[in-house]
Amino acid sequence: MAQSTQLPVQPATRTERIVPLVIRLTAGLLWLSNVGWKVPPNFGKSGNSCGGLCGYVQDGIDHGVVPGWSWLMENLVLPNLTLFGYATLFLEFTLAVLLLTGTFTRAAAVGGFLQSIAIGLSVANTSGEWYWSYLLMAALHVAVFGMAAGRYYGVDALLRQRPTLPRWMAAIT
Amino acid sequence: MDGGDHVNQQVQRTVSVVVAAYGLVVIVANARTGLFPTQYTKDWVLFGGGGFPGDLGRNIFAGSIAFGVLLLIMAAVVWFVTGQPAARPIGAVAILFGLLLLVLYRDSGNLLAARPGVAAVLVAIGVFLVASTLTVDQAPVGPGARAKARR
Repeated sequence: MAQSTQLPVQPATRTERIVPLVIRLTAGLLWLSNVGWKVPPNFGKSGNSCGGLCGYVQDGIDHGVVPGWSWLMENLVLPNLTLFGYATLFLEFTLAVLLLTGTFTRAAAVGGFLQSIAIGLSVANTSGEWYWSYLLMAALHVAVFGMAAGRYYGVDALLRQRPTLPRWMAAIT
Repeated sequence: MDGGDHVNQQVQRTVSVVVAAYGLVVIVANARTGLFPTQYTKDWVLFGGGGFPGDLGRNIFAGSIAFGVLLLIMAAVVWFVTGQPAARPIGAVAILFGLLLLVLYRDSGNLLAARPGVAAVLVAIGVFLVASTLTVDQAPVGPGARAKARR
């Protein structure tokens, strides 16, 4: 009898399928609703004023969480704000698309986790911020990763049915 | 896409209905800005209040009437074309157009007044359409699919 080369799909009850979907869509909407205020080409920098994304970078410098991070923000990110602004815009846009569709979900979860930590390290100590927000954002992506939340009602479910799926692609779905 | 082996018709129709509802909200929310604006909506029909849920709504549904109509068209495409070979090129065009909107995003305005949030939704629809063809040889879906499968 020929052995199937398809990856196994875990049996799941309706609840076990719906909960990962809800968690994944929540994470997707988180990025979707926050991508819009990273506005190119200046990303909030205008003359001597610094708002928007630029303001958050400045907060990371003024209210550092860890010393090395503040140094990075001041000497690497702020002087190259346009480059980092575009990187942020495209990363968060991509995270929204991948999480909403359930495509390469585990890779998206890792990206979302790292971006949550990066944002938290920048602004968690800023006045008015609640540092638990960023810990919860990071935890949300850990849950998405752990549930492999794209395997139900997601594109990953389709990808994993392909017999020729490369191993690396199986790992990120 | 149900944890099983293909995009079943229930998922296909659910996605279509969700996209249509999303498009309708975009049309209504941005109705005061005109049909083909390039300036972003400031006078909202919905989501006018500050904080939650107004801020969330303004971020998720920022577009124009024309963009909402485009989403309604995409909802019809999802309903009728998902899983068929035509879904792949249509999905690819949707992805490319969504990325174009992202590249053109400026504080001064954008094509169809589309902020990145709605552009991301368009790209997501494109990804869904392209992905729906991945198993087209195994399990066709869409109108007449069951009859085709029986033949």
